[in-house]
Amino acid sequence: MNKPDLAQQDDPVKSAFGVRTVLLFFCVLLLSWPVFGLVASFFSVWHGEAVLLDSWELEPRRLLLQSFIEGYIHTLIVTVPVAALAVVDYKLFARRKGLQRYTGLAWFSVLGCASLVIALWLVPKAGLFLPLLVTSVFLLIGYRLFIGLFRMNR
Amino acid sequence: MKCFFKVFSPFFIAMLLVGKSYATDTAIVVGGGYKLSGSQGQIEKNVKWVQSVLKEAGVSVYTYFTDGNDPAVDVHVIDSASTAKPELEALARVFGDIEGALTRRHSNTVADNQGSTRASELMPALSNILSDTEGVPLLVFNGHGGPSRKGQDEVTLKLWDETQVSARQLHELLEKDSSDLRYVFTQCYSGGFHRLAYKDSEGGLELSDATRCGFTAESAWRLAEGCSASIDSSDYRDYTTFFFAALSGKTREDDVLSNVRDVDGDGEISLRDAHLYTLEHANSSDLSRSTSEDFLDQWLPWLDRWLPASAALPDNEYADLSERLALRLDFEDPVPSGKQIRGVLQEGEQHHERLRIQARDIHYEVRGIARQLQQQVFARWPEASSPYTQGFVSLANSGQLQEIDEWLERQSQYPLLREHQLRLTELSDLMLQAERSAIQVRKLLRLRRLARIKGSLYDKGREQHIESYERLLACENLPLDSTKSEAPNTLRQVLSASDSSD
Repeated sequence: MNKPDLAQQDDPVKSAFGVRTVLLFFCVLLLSWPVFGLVASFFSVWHGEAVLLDSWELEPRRLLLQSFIEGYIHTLIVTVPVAALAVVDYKLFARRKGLQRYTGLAWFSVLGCASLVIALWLVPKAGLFLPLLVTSVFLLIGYRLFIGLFRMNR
Repeated sequence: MKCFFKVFSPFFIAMLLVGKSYATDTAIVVGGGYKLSGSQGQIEKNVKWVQSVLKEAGVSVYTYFTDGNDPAVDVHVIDSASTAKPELEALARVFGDIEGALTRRHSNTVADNQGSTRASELMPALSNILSDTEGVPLLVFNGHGGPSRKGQDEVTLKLWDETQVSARQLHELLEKDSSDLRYVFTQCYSGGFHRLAYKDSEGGLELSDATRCGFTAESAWRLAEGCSASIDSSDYRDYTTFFFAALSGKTREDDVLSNVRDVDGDGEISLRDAHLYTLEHANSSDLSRSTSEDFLDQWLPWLDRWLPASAALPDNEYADLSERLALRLDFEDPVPSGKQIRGVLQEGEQHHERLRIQARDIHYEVRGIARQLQQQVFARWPEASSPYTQGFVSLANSGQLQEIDEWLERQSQYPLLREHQLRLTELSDLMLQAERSAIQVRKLLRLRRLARIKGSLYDKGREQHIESYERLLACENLPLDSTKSEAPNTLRQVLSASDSSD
C-alpha cells in the first residue's frame, strides 16, 4: 500500500483561510447593496419623502423588487472593488498582526472618503451622503466582527 | 438618406421642436361599460357632455358607445337610496337587493352613435378613422379598465360584450401606420396607456416616431374615480369632469371658470393646461398623469429611487402647483417638510380605516338581522324560499309578496336593519370623502416629486432625453382645436421633408 503523499495533502489552516477569504468576498459583495437599501429606507421613512415610500404604497411589490435587482447590478462596479479590498485587507491583517491598526484606519478612511467622493460626484446633495456613510459604518463594523471572530478561532 | 440625416441631425432636431401647423380637428369618443351591470349612467352623461364640448369647439366627433344603436337596454342608473322609496322596500332590504330595487335601466340615448364598442368592431373602425385623418386626432375613452399582472402595456379597455383591447394591441395598431394620436383615458389602470407614446410598448424611453401624448386619470396600478351610477352630475368629480370643464371654460352646470391658467403663455388653453387645472382643483381620489409626467417617472435615475428626497424644490410649474395645493390643504408653509405631509397623510388614512372598520361591523350586523328575518319569512311562507318555482309564482300572483312586505315592516328588528343600511350608504360616502382628502395629500407629494425629477432632468439628463421630454410637452400643449396652433412635427414628417429635399 502506498503511503499518502503529505506534500499533496491540503493544509487545513490554509484551506480554512481560503474559505474565509471567499466567504468574506461574497459577504461584502452580497450584503453591501441590501444594507445600503435598508439604511436608505430608514432615512426615507425618517425624512418622510422619497420615491421609495411612494412605490411601496402605490405600486406592485414586483416593481420594487425589479428596482432592487437593478440596484444590485448597478452597484457591482462599487461592491466588487470594495469586496476585493476587504480580502486584501484581511490577508494583510491575518498575516501581519502589527499592521492591524493601520488597516483598520485605512478602512475608515477609504470608506469615509469613498462615500464623500461618490456623494459629491453622483448627487451634490446630502441625501446620498448619509445613507452611504451609514452603510460604510455598518459594513466596517460587520467586517471587524468577521475578523475578530476568525482571529479568536485561530 | 441615412448619411444625410446624420450630418444634418441638429437641423432636424431644431425642425422637430419648431414644427409646422396642420389640421387636427377630429375626435373619437369611445364610451360605456362592458355589460349592463357595468354600464353606469355617469358614463353616458360624461360621453354626452364631452361630445357637446368637442362639437362646440368645432371638432368633428366620431362616437362609439356600448352596443351602438341596438334598442336593447345597455345603461343603468341607481336612484339615491336616501330619497327614493322603492316598491316592496322591506323585501328588498331583507333579501339584500336594495340597490337592484332602486335601479332603472334604459337603452342609451347618445346622439350620433356610430356603432358598438365591441373590440372586433371598434378596432377596424379606429384604424379607418386614423388612416383617413390628417394631423393628431384625439381619442377619448370613458368607461372601465382592466388591470395587468405583467407589464404596464397589458392593461385593458373593457369594451361591450365583455371584450377588451390592451394597451399593447392599441400600440400595435398605431405603430402599423405610425399614426399620430392624443388621448384622454379616464378608466381604472389607465396609466398603462402612456406606453402608446413610446416606440416599444413594453419598456424603454425611446419615443415613437409619431406624435403621441395623452392624459390619464390614474397610473397603471390604481383604480380611478368616476364609475357612479348616480344621476346627479354635480357630484361627479372624475377626471373627465374637470379636464373638459377647463377646456370649455365652464363647468357641467354652466358656471364660468375663470381660474384656468395658460401655463405656457401662448394665449390658448391647451390640453396640458386643462390637465394642470385638474391636478390643482379636482378633489377626487385620482392621481392623474400626463405622458410627459410618465416620462419623468420612467426617466428617474435608478439611485434616486432609493434616496430620500431633498428638502428644496426647483423653480418649475409643478413646484408652483404644489405650493398652491399645500396652502389649500391648510399647511402653514407652502413648502412643508416631508414629515409634516406624511403626518397629515397618516391621519387621513387612519380616519379612512376607522370608517372602514365601522362599515364592516355594521355590514356583519345587517347580515345577521337580515338572516333572522329571512328565516321567519320562510317559516311562515315556505314557498318564498324557492324562487323560480311554481309555488313562488303562485305566491307572487296571489299578492302575498305585498303581505310579506307589510309583515316585515311590522317586525321589531326591521327599523334597525333599515337604519343600519342607510348608515352604510352614509359611511360609504364618508369613506369616499376621506379617501379623496388623503389623495390630495398624496397628490402634493407627487407634485413635489415631479418638480424634483423635472429639475433633475434639466440638471443632469442627457440631451436626447430632454428633447424627448420637450417633444411630449409640445404635443400636450396643443389646444383642443389644434388647427389654431403650431403642432410639433413627427420624426416621420421631418424625414419625409428631407426625402423630398433629397
